[in-house]
Amino acid sequence: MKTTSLKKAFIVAAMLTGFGHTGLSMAYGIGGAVLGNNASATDLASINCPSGTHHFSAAVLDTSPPVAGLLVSVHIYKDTQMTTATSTSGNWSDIVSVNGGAGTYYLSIRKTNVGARNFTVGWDCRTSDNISTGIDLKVLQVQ
Amino acid sequence: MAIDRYNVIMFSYTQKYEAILMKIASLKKIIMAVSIMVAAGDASAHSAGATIDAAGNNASATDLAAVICYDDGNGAPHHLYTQIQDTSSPVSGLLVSTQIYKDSQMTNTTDTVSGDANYSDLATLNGGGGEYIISVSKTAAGARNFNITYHCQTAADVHTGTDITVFQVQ
Repeated sequence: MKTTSLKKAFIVAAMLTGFGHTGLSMAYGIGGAVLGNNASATDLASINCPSGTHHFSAAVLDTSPPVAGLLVSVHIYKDTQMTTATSTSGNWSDIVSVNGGAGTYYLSIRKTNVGARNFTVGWDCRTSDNISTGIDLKVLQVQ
Repeated sequence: MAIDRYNVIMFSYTQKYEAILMKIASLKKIIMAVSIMVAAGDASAHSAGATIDAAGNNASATDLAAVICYDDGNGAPHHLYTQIQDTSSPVSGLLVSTQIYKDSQMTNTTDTVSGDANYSDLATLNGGGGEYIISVSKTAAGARNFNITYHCQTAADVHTGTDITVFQVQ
């Protein structure tokens, strides 16, 4: 049920026309879901960036009320590289990128403690000129 | 005026040089710690310590490694677990975590109390044998000293073959 909800959220959100991050263009895919109460809860997805891709970028927004010590982060992983960014004080995280060319990137959302958190995430495969090459996403794990 | 400019440039170079040296030292610490443990044949003590974001200005700093779980005679690997200890003084909003990724699964754990003697809860991923990816990250800019432990175990929680290759030190 939760997986279905997340998939729906990702699909619906991917069609949105803007989401308030001044650094993210409208080409970004956008999705949202709830990270469960478990401290180790992690949502995971893969994105297959097509030929012509130079890098993959993402940012996350924690949309739940602030709780001290409870922060939501996004991670991008490909091959031998990983990066991360954290949403703080109700603001979008920085946009982070991995320059991994075409191929499969992994996008994950996690948090630092017990407590459910609502989040919105934006992602995009891009050329070296920051032109979108794709946002197709496959959800692997919802917790 | 020219001397002032020269001093500024030299100071800048010195800062960069020191930051590079610190990073090299951190990487060496990891490699040495791992090497020492492998050389000693201590199958039960896979741990390492390092500094992440030594320059203190990179919120996205992430250390990354592959851990290979294999049957060293103690049994087939069933899972990998990790624990992280942030040994730096507490800073509000600055927490250190470790993640484990394999195939279509990922988990994580955070040391919620920085600077004390306790490690985080365990993060465990049941992925059998093969290559797991482990990482260390944090939630804001700031240098953090950390210790990490990682162990491949059988389904009966018996320690089995555990090797590490460091990919990225930031």
